[in-house]
Amino acid sequence: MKHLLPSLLLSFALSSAANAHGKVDCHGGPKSGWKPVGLLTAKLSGEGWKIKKAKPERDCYEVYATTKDGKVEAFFHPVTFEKILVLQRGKVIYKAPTHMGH
Amino acid sequence: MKGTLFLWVILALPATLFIGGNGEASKLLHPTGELSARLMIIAMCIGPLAVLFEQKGWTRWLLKHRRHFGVAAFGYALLHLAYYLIDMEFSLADMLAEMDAAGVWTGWLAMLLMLFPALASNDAAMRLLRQNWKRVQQLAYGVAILTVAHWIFLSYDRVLGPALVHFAPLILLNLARLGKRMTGKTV
Repeated sequence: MKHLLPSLLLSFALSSAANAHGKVDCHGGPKSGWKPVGLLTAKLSGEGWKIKKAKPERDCYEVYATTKDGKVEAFFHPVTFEKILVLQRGKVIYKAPTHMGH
Repeated sequence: MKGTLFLWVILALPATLFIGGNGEASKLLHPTGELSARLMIIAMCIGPLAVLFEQKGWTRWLLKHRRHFGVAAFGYALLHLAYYLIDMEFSLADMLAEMDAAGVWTGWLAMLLMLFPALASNDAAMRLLRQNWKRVQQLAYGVAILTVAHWIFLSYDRVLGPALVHFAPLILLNLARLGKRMTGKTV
């Protein structure tokens, strides 16, 4: 008991953390058909986005950037580069009409 | 004393992994916040557990170490804040720009409110505050409510599950404690 209780408490404290932003679906299809992420970041930079990071996330490209709205986390379709969802700490700045969310 | 030191080594271990791992601040925000919430939940469950199960060896152990869990929760909240500041590149303008997001202001408010019980978590503050000391510690309930809101609002689809699953033991134990006080029955 002496060791069981601290172990139980610590396993609760340290068990793995879940995803923070929620579930996003872009329906991007197979990765083999995706356009290079560099094309997306170049397009966004041209639109004035200051890109911090861009990477595949599930079936989307996820982009961390600073825009006129401040720091955002945005999700794009990896083939059409359609803007699916733009978030600022959970606040929806933009949501594509095609994206129903969960 | 040896037990307390050992507990602190264990409690500090994730911090060394977070800091030493040199990961991206944006990726460390959620784990540090969640760990802080979990430690706060543990600290806040100890009171109801001690009332429900009365004088047992393990409840005495928990009561003896409650302060350490609470202070560790505050420590991880500070680390969480530090990663937020790093992620925002210390830009006051960017921080103000997102202050209207419910997920942000609830976090700031929780942090601010948490300062009071954290600063009062020592023997000197106990002596100084006397009967008000308990009231200061009870601010932790406000922190818990704000933390649940912070957690839920940070998820754009407002998923309640993860936050509520974490806080469910605290809610249930407090209800059980209330039930015991009303009926006088032990669990």
